Amino acid sequence: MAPLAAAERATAFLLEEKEALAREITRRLYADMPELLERYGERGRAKCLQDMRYNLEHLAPAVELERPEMFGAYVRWLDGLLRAHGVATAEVVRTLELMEEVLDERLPADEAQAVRECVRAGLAVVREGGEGG
Amino acid sequence: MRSVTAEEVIRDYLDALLEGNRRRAFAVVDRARGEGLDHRAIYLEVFQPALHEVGRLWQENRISVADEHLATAITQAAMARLYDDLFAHGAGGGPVLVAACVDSERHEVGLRMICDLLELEGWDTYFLGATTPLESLVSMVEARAPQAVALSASITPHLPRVRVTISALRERLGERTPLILAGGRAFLDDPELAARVGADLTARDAMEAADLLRERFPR
Repeated sequence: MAPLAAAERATAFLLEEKEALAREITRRLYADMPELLERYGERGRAKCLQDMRYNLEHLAPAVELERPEMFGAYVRWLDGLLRAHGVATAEVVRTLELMEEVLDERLPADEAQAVRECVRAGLAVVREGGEGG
Repeated sequence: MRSVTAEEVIRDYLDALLEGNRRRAFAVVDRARGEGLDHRAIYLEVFQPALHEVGRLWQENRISVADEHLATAITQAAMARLYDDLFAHGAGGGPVLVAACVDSERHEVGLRMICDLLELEGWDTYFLGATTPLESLVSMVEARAPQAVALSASITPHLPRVRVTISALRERLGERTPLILAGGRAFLDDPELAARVGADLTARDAMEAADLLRERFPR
């Protein structure tokens, strides 16, 4: 089945390219929101990079198993965790938007489609979450 | 007869865990045993909810990862102490279960609880614990020919590996493949997920898992 194959290829890409993708998303986030460096310092940036790796690791099975809501549930959990650490939901939203942007640029259309459904399920959770976006 | 409620015991036990005080945690368990709580009650009504609470406190940033690991380690030690008299009671010779966490999965307490609960009922269980490599798991299952295999995943990134493990078991063992149960936190949100990774059964917690297996393989 063609859509399954796209999901599998996209999953392999996410895991193989995890490091480069995490770095690029982090780079764009800090370019976008320079105040983050002032607020959290270099240590914050390193933590952010680690979080981007986790995000990709959690995105992969949702794509592979074609379960967008699985990534949605992870984002809900992550947002709760980060808010407990004083990180605003707006940052989570921006991170996911950049994740979609970077993956859209790098994946063929069918794979990008499989990934986008999952990322958007995550975005829907934090956008409805109250802080807008 | 119980003269204490599980709620009272949980509170004391949780306090001991958060203090990181193993001696006190053991004393709470011993007192509860003395006052009539059996193994099953201590596992399901004290250890399980206490560890869930520890996880929640970590998520709310009220305790650290180190605190959480310490609480888990203390509980594993408390389970090991109970295990000694469990052996004195369990007869063995019943159905066989192999239980493992695949690959990098390290959350092993739930599986350990399933094994101990079934040991109480006379099962023979082989608990391989955390981070079991796929190939050695498959060989172990082939050698022990259990009635059932239980696999667990705490977070969704481990699911693909559960799927690969199950398909390796089915491929190697064919018609001799035992009943495969998959569970853990990663499966809770989606009732269809276990079937999607190729498992025959899933359960929401250790008690349900033990109950389902007992139903399938009555002694």
